[in-house]
Amino acid sequence: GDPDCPHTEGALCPKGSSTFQLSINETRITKPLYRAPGSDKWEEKPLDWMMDRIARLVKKTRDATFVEQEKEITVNRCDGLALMGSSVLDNEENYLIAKLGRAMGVVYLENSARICHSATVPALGVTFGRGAMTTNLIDVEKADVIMPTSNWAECHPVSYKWVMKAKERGAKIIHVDPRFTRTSATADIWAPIRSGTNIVYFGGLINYAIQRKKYFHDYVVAFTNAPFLIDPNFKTPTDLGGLFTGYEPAKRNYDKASWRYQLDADGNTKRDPTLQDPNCVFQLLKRHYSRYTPEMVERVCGLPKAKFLKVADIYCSASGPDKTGTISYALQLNQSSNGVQQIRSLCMLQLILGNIGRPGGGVVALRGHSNVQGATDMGTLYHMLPGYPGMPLRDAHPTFKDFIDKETPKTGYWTTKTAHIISQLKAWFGDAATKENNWAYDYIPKRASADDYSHQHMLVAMLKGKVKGFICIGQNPAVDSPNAGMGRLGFAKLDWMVVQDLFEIETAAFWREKGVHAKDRSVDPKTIKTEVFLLPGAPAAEKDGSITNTMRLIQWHSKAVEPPGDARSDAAFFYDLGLRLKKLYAGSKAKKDRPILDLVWDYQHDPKDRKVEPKMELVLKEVNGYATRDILDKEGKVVFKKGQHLPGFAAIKDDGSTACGNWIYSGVYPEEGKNLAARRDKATTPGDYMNHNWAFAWPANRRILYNRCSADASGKPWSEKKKLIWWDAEQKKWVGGDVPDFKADLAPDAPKLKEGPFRGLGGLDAFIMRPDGKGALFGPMADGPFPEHYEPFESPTHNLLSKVNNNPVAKVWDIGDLNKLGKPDQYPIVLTTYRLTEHHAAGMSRHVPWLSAMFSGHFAEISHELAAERGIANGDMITVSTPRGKIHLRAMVTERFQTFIINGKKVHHMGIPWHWGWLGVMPAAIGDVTNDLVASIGDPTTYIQESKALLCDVKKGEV
Amino acid sequence: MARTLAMFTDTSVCIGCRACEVACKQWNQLPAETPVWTGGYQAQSHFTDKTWRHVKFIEKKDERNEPKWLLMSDVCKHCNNAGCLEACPTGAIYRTPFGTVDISQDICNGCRYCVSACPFGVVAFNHGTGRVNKCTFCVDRTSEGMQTACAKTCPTKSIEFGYRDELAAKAKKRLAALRAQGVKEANLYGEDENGPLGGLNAFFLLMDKPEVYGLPAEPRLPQKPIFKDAALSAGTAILAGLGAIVAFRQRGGGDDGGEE
Amino acid sequence: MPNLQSPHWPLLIDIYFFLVGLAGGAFMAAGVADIFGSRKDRVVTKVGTYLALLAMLPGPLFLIIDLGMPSRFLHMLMVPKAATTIGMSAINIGPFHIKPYSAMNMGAWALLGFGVCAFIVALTLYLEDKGGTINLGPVRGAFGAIGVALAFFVAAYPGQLLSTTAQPFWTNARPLGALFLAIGASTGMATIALILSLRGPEVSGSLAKVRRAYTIAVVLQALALIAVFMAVARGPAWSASRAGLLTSGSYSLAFWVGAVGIGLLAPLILEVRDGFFQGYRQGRGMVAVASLLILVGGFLTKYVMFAVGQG
Ligand SMILES: Nc1nc2c(c(=O)[nH]1)N[C@H]1C(S)=C(S)[C@@H](COP(=O)(O)OP(=O)(O)OC[C@H]3O[C@@H](n4cnc5c(=O)[nH]c(N)nc54)[C@H](O)[C@@H]3O)O[C@H]1N2
Ligand SMILES: Nc1nc2c(c(=O)[nH]1)N[C@H]1C(S)=C(S)[C@@H](COP(=O)(O)OP(=O)(O)OC[C@H]3O[C@@H](n4cnc5c(=O)[nH]c(N)nc54)[C@H](O)[C@@H]3O)O[C@H]1N2
Ligand code: SF4
Ligand code: SF4
Ligand code: SF4
Ligand code: SF4
Ligand code: SF4
Ligand SMILES: [Mo]
Repeated sequence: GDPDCPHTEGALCPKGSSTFQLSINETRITKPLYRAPGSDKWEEKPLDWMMDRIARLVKKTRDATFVEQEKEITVNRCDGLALMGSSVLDNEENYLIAKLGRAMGVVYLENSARICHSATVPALGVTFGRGAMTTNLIDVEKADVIMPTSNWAECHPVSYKWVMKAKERGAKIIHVDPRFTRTSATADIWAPIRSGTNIVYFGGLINYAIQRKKYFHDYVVAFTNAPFLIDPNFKTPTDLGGLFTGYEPAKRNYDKASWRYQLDADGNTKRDPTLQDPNCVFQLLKRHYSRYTPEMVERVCGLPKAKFLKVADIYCSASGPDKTGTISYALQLNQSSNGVQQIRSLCMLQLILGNIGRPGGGVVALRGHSNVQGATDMGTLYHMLPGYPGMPLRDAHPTFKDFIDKETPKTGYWTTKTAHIISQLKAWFGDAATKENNWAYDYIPKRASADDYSHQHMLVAMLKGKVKGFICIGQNPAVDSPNAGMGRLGFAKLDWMVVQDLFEIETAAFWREKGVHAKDRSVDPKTIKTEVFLLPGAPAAEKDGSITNTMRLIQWHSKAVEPPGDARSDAAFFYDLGLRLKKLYAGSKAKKDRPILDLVWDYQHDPKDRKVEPKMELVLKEVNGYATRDILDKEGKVVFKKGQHLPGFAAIKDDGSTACGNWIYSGVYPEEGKNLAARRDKATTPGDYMNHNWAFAWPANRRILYNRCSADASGKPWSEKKKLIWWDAEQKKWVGGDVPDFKADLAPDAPKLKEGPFRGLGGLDAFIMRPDGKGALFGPMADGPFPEHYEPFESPTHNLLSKVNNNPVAKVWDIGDLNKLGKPDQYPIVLTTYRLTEHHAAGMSRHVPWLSAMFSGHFAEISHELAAERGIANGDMITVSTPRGKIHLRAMVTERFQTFIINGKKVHHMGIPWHWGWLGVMPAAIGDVTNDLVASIGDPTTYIQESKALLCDVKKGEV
Repeated sequence: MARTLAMFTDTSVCIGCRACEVACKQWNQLPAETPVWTGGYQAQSHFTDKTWRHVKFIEKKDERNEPKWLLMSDVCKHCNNAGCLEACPTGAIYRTPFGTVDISQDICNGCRYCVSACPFGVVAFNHGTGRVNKCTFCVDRTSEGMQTACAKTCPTKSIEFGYRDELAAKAKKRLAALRAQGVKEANLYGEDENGPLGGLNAFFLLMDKPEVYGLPAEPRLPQKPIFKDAALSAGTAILAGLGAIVAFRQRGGGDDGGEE
Repeated sequence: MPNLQSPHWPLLIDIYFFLVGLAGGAFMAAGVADIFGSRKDRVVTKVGTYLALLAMLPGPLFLIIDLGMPSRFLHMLMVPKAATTIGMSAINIGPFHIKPYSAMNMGAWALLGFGVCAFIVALTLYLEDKGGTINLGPVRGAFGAIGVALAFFVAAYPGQLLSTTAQPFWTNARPLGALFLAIGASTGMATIALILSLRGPEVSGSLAKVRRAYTIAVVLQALALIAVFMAVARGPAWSASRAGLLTSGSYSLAFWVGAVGIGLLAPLILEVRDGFFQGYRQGRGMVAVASLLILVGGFLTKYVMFAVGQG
């Protein structure tokens, strides 16, 4: 760790401390390995031979499965290829994957962010305008109350220092988790709730805040859509028995016609600043959550009323002009059939308490892998392009015009989206993208349906034989996927698979799987015809590139050591692949091959470099944006010369004169030789506690988003204690301790602007990315504009809030016996899955001796009461089973899991860390795959899996 | 002798992440060892020749019957009066100019007397090298003016490295603050130079009684009473000697007896 | 119970502790007989001295074998470090060092010194028997005197080595040194008696004296054992509770039957009956039996004391 880094102060967690063994590790692969169909062993092959074969297979599969036209619409889609990028790869690498992938026509394009934090993006996006953490970790120290609802101390240990600093200052810590963890150990209060009941918990807090008038009235009126009037036809589940207006059972879908604001004669939204109108958002919200009483919290979550009230009282005290509170979350909200809404409920609580955009407040969305944020920004996700424009749909966006009309809002800062899309197409297809051909819009593949192509869809498509070739970079889906056993069956149906990794991971070795304890999992290589390529990759320390951490901070890292042997960056792999494809397609007359042939793909690698490493600064430059020709101002004076870097996204044009790979990153590389991501200056101006000169945070180096909210309606700080930025009447601009996330010169009392990028926004519209400029308490999603509780699909109880047990629009994959759901009578125990500080996700740590030696093997944590009931002693081997599969592991009997009382009945709750798989450096690192227990279920908006709350059964011994 | 260095481990902010344990292995290039089932999160029940920082996870229930998890990163105490050092017959164990206690691997002959003499069970025998190992206080770093590896890596500053006097003052402040916040059970262990073993140069802020952490309530220097013991032995020697003298001075008796 | 680490010393060390004790006891008896005994008692001096030499010889060997790095046995005595850095009141003498607080270091020195004395004394006796002309009396006197002091030391130090560790039981068993010394005396003299009992009637006078002497030693041994228990009982629970292993735990048989029964009661009964009430009329067979009992009992006493500390 770098002792000067203001965020870590040189500290590391065990994984960080052991990175040495990531590079210096005898089990690391340094030569390309090939597994022929039906073979039972790896053979070493030359890198060039591998790449040549891979390129030909890609072409073969692409040509065989390419769909050019559908319903007279050019779709340029290739369903037979699947690509998995990864949130451990650099921004530039993910950008190249997205760029090449889309040019190839790939729609099955994902990265681990999907099964990680995908629900975060729409939840935060719809509520605040951007799908990213709203605050900065250093700022956590300023909070008066901190409520981690994730396992912050174990999963984000280094950033937890700021929580501990706040605590040393006397801040109260409330940890919400069904399980007593190392975070709970440091908390003042541990509030256990049953897995999957978060909406009831947060809804209960919202209800408490409203009933007891603890919400921040002035903030709510000024900055949220609470005063807005909603269409009178709109009704909430309180009145419709668990459903919102417009449910269509046949389609398992909502008609959202009535989910909208009331408009007056000249098209402005109607409001009631007194918040009294029964149709105003605030009253609807109040009525909606009136059912979420403390008693209900006790019955559904199993959190005793007395304790809930104590928690509610403490947390809601963190509100008002001179107090703020912050809440962390990560997977426990994401990985659910209600993923997006669980997160929304948290965001809404923070909004009504006035905790967004203010010091010590915010929503701390603790991201996953080193670069989940960046991989998401770069759009290696099926549903979006880099920078968050949606991925076009065949039926909704047949033409560029449809796409722009539907994608680009009429008001708010995202009116600039059209320019971003055009500049992106220019960056990808250069001179081939012209006004005449709609900037080569046709080159971009069109999705056939919104209900396809996600991580889980991809696995099912493999199983069904639709996907034939799979390239998996920096991810281990054989272990990380829900219903992983099903996923591995899918791999066996592939014609070929390419994996690039540091180690021989289970995904690449699926054809020689050994059931570790659950022996019946073992497979016979002879029966598996998939051709497998395993390429040696290089970790961050061995390559140039940038990573965007959880607080949107883009940090550049330079190659510290050469990758060993044939190991090389992932950028090199894709760059190399792209060059080879261009060669293979050279001279093709087919229209379908234009995207590849016209793709701008020159990153000036050293011709003598057999590893074909591209110049990463050039990729970052493209991401940042540059002028495609000389750009002149009115007087005809040159403002940007051809090829000159863009200073920021304000300079992006919609006339093809600029190319920009990802607009939100624009400004990170404003001039030749001035890479701000590589900047490492500590606080230069006194009091700059967020160190604005350390690297670069998107957008425009703003550290706390929506910081206009840190000042009241008149532009004055709410209080001295909590001031951040404010309106300086003399200078006529916003000034203070952060870059304003607002039009710098837009006065607090300014009316709505009529034109310009900020059109439709006035002096109180702090949430500039939202069309209405307000924080969305009312925010239409696939499953409703307000979060409503539905039980997980596997739950020990029926829904106590309504007759509708499960999310009525969520997805359950129909793959017969491979995805049966368990009922409480056979599977009475609630099971959750999670991480350990010492282990890393799907297995990196299992190849690192120091980390592997930190636990004696795979284990499940169960309560003394459950152990006694099942005659299990601490340390016994047990069998945990669900209808999807069973695993054998050791029982750790502990006080840290306790029996819940749900609706008056005892319910056992247990948990399993999911890190283990059948490959590793020592016996302790080897175990059954926890994800073989998890079902194929998806949230309706992002299709993230339900891996935090399921049902299981436990037996003593290996049965 | 240079100003005494120390480490202050404040268990009230420890998150049990074990980064210190790994950082120690990384800096000292200690190999990973086979983990054992301890019934909980610990991979070793105590220090070993390869685990010099050892994080303890102690599970209990508090007075309100709520679960409690005591997390503590244990380490060699670098005692001002060190049992291991006094025991060592070869002088392999020595006091560094910084007041810490280190073992010269080129002198140790593996007699294991120190192992038995440490009141905290720190020193451990290495069957591979035939010598004993323990925390070196990162002599190779500290002598270069760097802080110890475990302290540097600790995410929450639960381990702090510095001059003993400064850290001791800090520890007292921290204790006062905690007491003020109503944390009665908090207590300092080894910070007092007039206390047991003349104070420990790696001292702790504990959140429960020392015994709960497997630490002796009041550690003693085992060798302290050696001369008292010697007096006892000498006394016995004299009696035994006198007895023999009496027996041999005695005339008659057996002299004439004994024929068959 | 605080977390501690056991040194895991093997039986070999146990045997060594027993043998040096025995050697010490025998040499002490030899010395006393030489100075205070009658001319006839020279046999005791000779047997005692040769026995001591023989019994201590394997000692260093055992110690060295047990070291993790046997080649470094000399480090016990030499270190290239300033005394100030290696312990309380340590001193350097040339390349050598002495650490008064390290029983093992002092023991190493004592063993060396004792070995030299025993050897020289034995040599003088041998030469005299060869009928040498020069009078070696003064030499033997000098080395004998020093030797006897060191004899007590080597007999006692293993006990103190244990009582100055941090191990449960040991760390509170302050009189272990005294106990080990008493055992050394009793077993040393018992061995002499055993050997004499194989000789003809001409030695029976000396034999009786040896028997009186070792009887007194056995009494001291009993008292020391009681003292050990009293000391341990005063220690903290985690340490005192270890005594349970002896009185009722895994070592109770060896303790009650071996240490107490065979080592103390049986020989005392025999000796008191015969010695005081019958003026040593019993035959040599009984002497052999009594001394064997003392040897076995003495060994087992040391064995259990050693074992109980290592758990
Ligand atoms: N049941 C259950 N399942 C889960 C979760 C859960 O909570 N419960 N969590 C989900 C979440 S949040 C996530 S993010 C996923 C994580 O699942 P994965 O992303 O599969 O986890 P990792 O094992 O970290 O996979 C990263 C791989 O990339 C390799 N790697 C590291 N650096 C590089 C590089 O620079 N280049 C290349 N080519 N390879 C590299 C590593 O060796 C490792 O094999 O798991 C998901 N699965
Ligand atoms: N050491 C370590 N750190 C990591 C990772 C790792 O593999 N190892 N992975 C990284 C990645 S990829 C990610 S995404 C993050 C994930 O960070 P987290 O989400 O914090 O990690 P998890 O352990 O998956 O889940 C957190 C906690 O959710 C609890 N939980 C389960 N159900 C519920 C619920 O309904 N409500 C509440 N409040 N809690 C619930 C579980 O008991 C668990 O303790 O961690 C990152 N950091
Ligand atoms: S793994 Fe995460 S927490 Fe640990 S050192 Fe690396 S970045 Fe920091
Ligand atoms: S590194 Fe710090 S926080 Fe982590 S276990 Fe060690 S002492 Fe505790
Ligand atoms: S703790 Fe033990 S090893 Fe460390 S100095 Fe003290 S006595 Fe020696
Ligand atoms: S083992 Fe080595 S360090 Fe320990 S006492 Fe013996 S010689 Fe000294
Ligand atoms: S001071 Fe150095 S040697 Fe001692 S525990 Fe810390 S890292 Fe290990
Ligand atoms: Mo993640």
